Amino acid sequence: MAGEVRGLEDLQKALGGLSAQMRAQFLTDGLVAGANVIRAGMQTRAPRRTGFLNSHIEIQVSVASGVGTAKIGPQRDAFYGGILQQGTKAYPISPKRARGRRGKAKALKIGNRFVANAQRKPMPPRPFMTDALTQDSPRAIQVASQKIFDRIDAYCAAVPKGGA
Amino acid sequence: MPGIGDVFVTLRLEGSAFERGVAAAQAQAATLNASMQRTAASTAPVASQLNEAGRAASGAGEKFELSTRVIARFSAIATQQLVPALDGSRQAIEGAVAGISHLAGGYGTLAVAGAGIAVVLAGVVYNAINGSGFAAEKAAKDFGDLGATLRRFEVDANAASIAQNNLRRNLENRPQIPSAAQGLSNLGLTPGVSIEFEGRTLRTPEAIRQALEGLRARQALGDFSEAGGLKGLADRNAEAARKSFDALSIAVQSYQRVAQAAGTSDPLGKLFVSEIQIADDLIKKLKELRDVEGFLPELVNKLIGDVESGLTAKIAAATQQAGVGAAGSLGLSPSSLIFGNRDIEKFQGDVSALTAEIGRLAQAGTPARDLFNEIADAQGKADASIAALKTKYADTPAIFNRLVDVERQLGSGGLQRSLDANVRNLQGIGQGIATIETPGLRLKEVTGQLATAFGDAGENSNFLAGVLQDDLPSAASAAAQSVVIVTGNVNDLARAVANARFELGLLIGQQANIAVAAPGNF
Repeated sequence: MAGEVRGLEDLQKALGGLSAQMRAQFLTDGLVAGANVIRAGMQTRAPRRTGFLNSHIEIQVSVASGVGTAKIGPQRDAFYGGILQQGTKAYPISPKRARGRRGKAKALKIGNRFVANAQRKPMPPRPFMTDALTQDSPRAIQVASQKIFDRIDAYCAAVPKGGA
Repeated sequence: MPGIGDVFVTLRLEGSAFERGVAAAQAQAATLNASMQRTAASTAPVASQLNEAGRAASGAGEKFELSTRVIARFSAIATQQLVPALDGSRQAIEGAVAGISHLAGGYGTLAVAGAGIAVVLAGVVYNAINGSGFAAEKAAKDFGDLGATLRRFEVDANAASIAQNNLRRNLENRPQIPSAAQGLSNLGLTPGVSIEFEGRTLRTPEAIRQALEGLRARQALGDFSEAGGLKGLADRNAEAARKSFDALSIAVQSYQRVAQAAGTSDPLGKLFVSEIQIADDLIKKLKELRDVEGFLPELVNKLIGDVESGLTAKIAAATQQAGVGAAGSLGLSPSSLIFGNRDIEKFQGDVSALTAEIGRLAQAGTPARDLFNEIADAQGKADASIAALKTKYADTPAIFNRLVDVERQLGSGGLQRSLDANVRNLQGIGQGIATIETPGLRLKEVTGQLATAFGDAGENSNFLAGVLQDDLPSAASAAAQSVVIVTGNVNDLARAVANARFELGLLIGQQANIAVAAPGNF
């Protein structure tokens, strides 16, 4: 005889659990997956000499009040990543003076020449961080979302069988 | 491991909409559960009576969609099998079952296996029709006093029909505006103004018009008098005649309008007599302007069209108002078509007003973040309103179906998406903002152009709730899967949700409100 009602109560319970899980874990998983895309983009675009900066880009994830935040950037050890990202302005280089206000100026040697003063050229920015963010964001979002959906699927599939 | 440095980018994922969606899905599931339990409780008492019928009807199909139309058809077939004498009255039975299914409440789009439910309903109808037997009485009672419900349904339907007919008849019989001469002659009256002209008393516009034409004809012949005296007399007479004619025309027009107002018994018609006259006057003036050289006829025609459409809209609004008033006076059910139509139009009007106001605020430079919060609140309120209306009009199929359409358009994130996009468009902002910053000092800000197909996470809830409520049966059918909500367990249901998602493409590229932002920048 058709017309039995089974399983819906279980589903309601599952949905209740789903909401709690979502806040705590699914968001985090999705964020980490999305942030990894951005990090990979940074690693590809970062200026490379020794590889230190490349291997020291970190992700920091936090979830609060239903909002997940992932910070992606160089670790403190690789602080110069920020300088490379932003570049520098031109600035004058002057010889140091001996101690005291009337101290005699020391000689300034650049290369093999002694000079009175010099001008440091500006370093143009190499925006590997913003480029990674703006160009890879769509894919990061897609990956993050897909990760969440995968987690939902896994969750649904794992709901214990049984009916009321 | 050292922590992250001072310079970083931020990826932010807004999950609150998603959680609202999950809550909505929970509510949907609860409604579904209650509805199905009610159905099961109602059908249980007659189950034993229908064993034979169930077997007889099982050949009708392994599974079917329990829409109102389908269940009505199945039930009618089953009832015919139960009661051969009813052969030929399928249409009547279908109508009755459709009423029952709506009155029984909200399970119109669920898929079930077998023809059992249809047969149960058919049995209830059969028993209700015959009105005898313990099982029949019990079934009818368990179904919420089926007989009384049906009678109430019929009474409501009849009352609605009578009200509509009355309204239509009043509108159709509203007196047409007669011409001046016709109106006066119909009333057996002549105008109360007369003029003396060349020794004759002229009482009708026609007589005056003829006299004037004769005078003009004589003038056209020139001054044929010996000393011009006759022409002077003719001119004086013509001037007097013209003045009298103008006075007469005004008097006739005034009288005509009074006659129209007095002769219109329909309150709605009376309400619009003056409106129509004003519109007529305006249109007449515009037509005169159109004939003046130098005026663009297209422009004047457009103005005339505006006047006519404005009048039409005003009459339509008043007609609806009158219809609602009439329905109230006649004691129609609060869930009648007329009230439902009013409520839907009011809801849509509110949404339009909200849209305009949000657009105005966006153009005035209100921060997008504040607007987005406001929009999110509005979406929640809209969802609640739609849900309340659906509950109220669950027994009125025409209104309920319209509400479902409204819900698909504006409910569960639809309004929010539309308004958000409008704000973004008006303020020229992308869907996310990327920043590079150090604590306390923002060094650089870049607007991220996130050309992504992702909407907000509320879609995810839509999918869950929508699949549960509406779309799973068709998805399961499309996938040729024997997924059966009613008889399935939660595992089947969970898998059906996942499968339906992919079958319908509801989630792919649609979900998650992910914004790329820096803290404090939204």
